[in-house]
Parts: sequence; C-alpha cells; structure tokens
Amino acid sequence: MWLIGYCLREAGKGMRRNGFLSIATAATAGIAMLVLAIFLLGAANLAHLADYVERQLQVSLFLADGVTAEQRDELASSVSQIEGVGEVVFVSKEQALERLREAFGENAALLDGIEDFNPLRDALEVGIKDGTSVAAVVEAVKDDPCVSEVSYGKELVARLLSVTRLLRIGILALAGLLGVATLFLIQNSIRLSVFARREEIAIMRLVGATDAVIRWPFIFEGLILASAGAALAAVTVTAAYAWAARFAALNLVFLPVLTVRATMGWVGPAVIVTGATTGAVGALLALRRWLRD
Amino acid sequence: MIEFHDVSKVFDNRVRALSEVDLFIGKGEFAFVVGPSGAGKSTLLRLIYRADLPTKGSVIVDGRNLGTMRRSAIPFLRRNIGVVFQDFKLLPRRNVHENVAFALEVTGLARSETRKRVAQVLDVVGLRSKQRSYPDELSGGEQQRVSLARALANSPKILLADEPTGNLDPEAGASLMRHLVEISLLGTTVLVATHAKPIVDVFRARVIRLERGRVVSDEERSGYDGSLSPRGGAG
Repeated sequence: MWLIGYCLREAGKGMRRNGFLSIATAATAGIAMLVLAIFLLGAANLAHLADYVERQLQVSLFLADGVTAEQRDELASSVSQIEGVGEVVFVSKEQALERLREAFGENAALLDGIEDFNPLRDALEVGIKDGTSVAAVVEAVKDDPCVSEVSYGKELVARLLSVTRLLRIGILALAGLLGVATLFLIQNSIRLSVFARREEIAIMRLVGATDAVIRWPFIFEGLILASAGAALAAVTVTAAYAWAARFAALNLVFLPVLTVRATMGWVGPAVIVTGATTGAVGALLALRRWLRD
Repeated sequence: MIEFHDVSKVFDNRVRALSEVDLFIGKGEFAFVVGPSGAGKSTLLRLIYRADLPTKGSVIVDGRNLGTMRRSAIPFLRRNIGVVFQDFKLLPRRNVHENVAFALEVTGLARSETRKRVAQVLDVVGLRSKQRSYPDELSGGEQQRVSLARALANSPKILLADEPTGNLDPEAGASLMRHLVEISLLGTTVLVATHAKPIVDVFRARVIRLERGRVVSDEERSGYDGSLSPRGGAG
C-alpha cells in the first residue's frame, strides 16, 4: 500500500521534472497507437467487406431434364447439410423467366411469347455463408446425374479468397511489427528518463532502497505516459472514424462500412491496453541494465 | 563490527586494489584509513557496503558474511551503513529537507516519522534553518553536512566517509570531522578514508595505513606518518 502511493508520487514527480521527455514519450506512444488503431480499423473493415462479399456468393445447380420433385428435394437437403452452406432454394424455370423479365424492366416485352419454349432450366440456388465451402458443394454434386451444370463465380471466389487471406495475414504481421516498434520506442524514452535520473538511482541504492522501490516508479511512469498517449490516440481515431463512416454511409453507399460503435467499442480498449502494456514492459526492459549491483 | 579476513581484490582490468588485508574494527570505534591515491582506500570502503565483492577472503559486517549474502538482502545491509563522499552526491533539484528525507522515504518510513527524523539529523549537523535551500545555494561545508545528515538518517551502525574533506576548506573540514567524532562517541562505528595529513594529525585516532593495497601499519592514537605509540604491526 505504501509502495503504491510512494511509486505514484515518485512517478508524478519524475514526469514533472522531465516534462519535455515525458511529453515526447506520451506522444511517441500516442502516434504508435494511432497507427495501430488505424490498422485495426482497416483490418476490421476489410474483414467485414470480405465477409459481405462472401455472403453474396451463390452456387447455382442447374437440374437435368426429368428430375422429379423427390430427387430435387433429396439433393437440396443433402447439399444444405454441407458445412458453410446457407439456404437452398428451388427456382423453377418459370420463376427464372419471371426474374429475367424483371431484370429487363421496360424491355420485358422482348420476352413475350417465350413462355411456350422457355429455354431456361430448373435450378437449386445454394446460398454460401463461407467462401471456402463452394468447393465442397461443387465436389458433392459433381457426379450427381440430377445436376446438369454447376455455375458459380469460380475465378472470383478463388481470387477473393486468396486476397482476403493475404490481407488478413499482412495486417496481422504489420500490427505485430508496430507493437514491437512501439515497445522499442517506449523502452528508449524510459531509458532516457532513467538515464536522466541515474544519480538519483545510484543514491537510492546507496541508502538501501530495494529494487522494487527503484523500479516501480519508472514502470508506473511508462504505464501512465503510454496509456495517456494511447487514450488520446483512441479519442482522435474515434472522432476521425465517426466522420469517415458518416461520409462513407452518405457518399459510398455500395461500400459496407462498420459503424463507430461496432469498431471503436473494441479498438479503443485494445489500443489503450496495448499502449499501457507496452509502456510497462518497455520501462521494465529499459531498467534491466541499471539494476545490477 | 567490521572484519576483513585475508581480503584481496583484483579488478577485471587486473588492477590489484587490495592484497591480503586483515582488519578488525570494533563497535563505536573511530578510525582513519590513510595512504596515497590508489592505495586501495576507496575499495576497502566499497567492500564494506558491498558495492564490490572481494576476489579472495571474506568481509564480515555486523556478523554477516557479505560474500554469501543474497542480493535481496543488500538494501537492508546498506540501511545500517551511512556513506559520505568527497563530491557529496546530493540531488541538485531537491532541497535540503528532500535530500535527507529521500533516504528515509525509500525505506518505507511513514511521512510524519520521516519529517521528525529529518529535523533531528539536520539539528545534529546544524542545518535545520537551511532545510528549504537547494544544494547550489549552500557552501561546500554545508553541502557535505547535508550529505552527512542523509547518511545518518537511517541511524546507521556504521558510517563510512570517503575523502569527506577533499572539497572543503580547512575550517569546514575540521568542523565536519568534529561531527564525525561526536557521532562515533554516540556508538556508531566511523571509518574515514583520507589523505588530509593535518586532520589525521589533529585527531590522534586509530590510523590504518594502506600502501599499494596492503596494510603497512595500524596504530592507535597515531598521526598520518605513524607515531609515538606503536600498536605493533598490522592486524
């Protein structure tokens, strides 16, 4: 209890005595956490976008002529049991024609008279929840005599999957690198702070201060400064993202953008916790070489 | 209180600072450690507050062998040993009161106790009226007395002084020495490393003479260059 009070007081004094250095440390942590927050937001939105696009995926199973209703239902139920498959809907060739008519809009009259020899085919439309399950569906129905043709955005699926996977790995790696960079920056700032007070530390050791008493004020200092910087970064990013999300919602309607509440609810705390942790760990690393006898 | 048994210290750069030193300094004793620069005086003191470990032999302080002492026990050893240096080692951005209080705060003493104790030790060195001054507003003699007050704050059993008068004028030096003698009379073991001949000659105390790391003489009531009442060799 005494130690906590003492350390807080000393950390406060330390920050006041080395005002400029303290501000620089907080700013360093703040900038690093700002970049981290931006990356996290980018990653979250990319994941959201990939998810969104994947959810639009659909596999159409065109049925062979003469497939009975029972065979059709059996096929539908077996396909719907594949993992990652959503709803399986039967679309008759009449319904398909109707859709075509709707799609033609004003020019629907062109389709008049086509009903009698409708060239379209009955189909099962398989909803896909997870892009990776497309292959499973294709594999399952490949040799089924009821299915005459399978249609899906083969190339699109493949490209989308590889791109989103790459993006996720890349962003994870970048976030990791940023974390390490922040750790080094804070370690250096605290090291400067320790260096500025090396005489004080030498005297503390001389008069019988334990390692804990010497170490904790610096750890508190690192923790407080980095958290303050990170908090400032979180506030800034929240404001900026709120503006950007509103702008996107109004002007880029086709782009699915996550709301501030959905993202900053976890990005904010994540950034502050990361900042605080790196601050404390950085301080600890900086102190190592000064705490030998 | 302080025992050296066959102590040698060789530094990493192969400099031999102490050779086969045997010493016994009792409780409440006052002794000078004299000798030319580089004779090993500072090393001898540093071994007592365990800033260094001997290469050979053992150092026993207050019944504890420093060679086998755990790292975590060192701070508690040092709370029983006050150290005063030639360059005072005061913190320039703390005033007199804070410089002394510092030594008590880091041991976890309650703040009200700290205030009381700081006032006491500043009284001992006659600087209570200057407790709000900063080190650079004080004379060298006053700064060294602040440093002495800090060394005394934890009521140590041992007080070590490494060339304490080195940066002081003769008058301030003599005044500081009188303080050190008074402290030893109150039961603290005081060891003063110095090459200030006039001071050693005036005080006629025990004088341990080092040359090239060896104790060449150890005499009671002696002067800087040896004296009238030999004690009979080293030991």
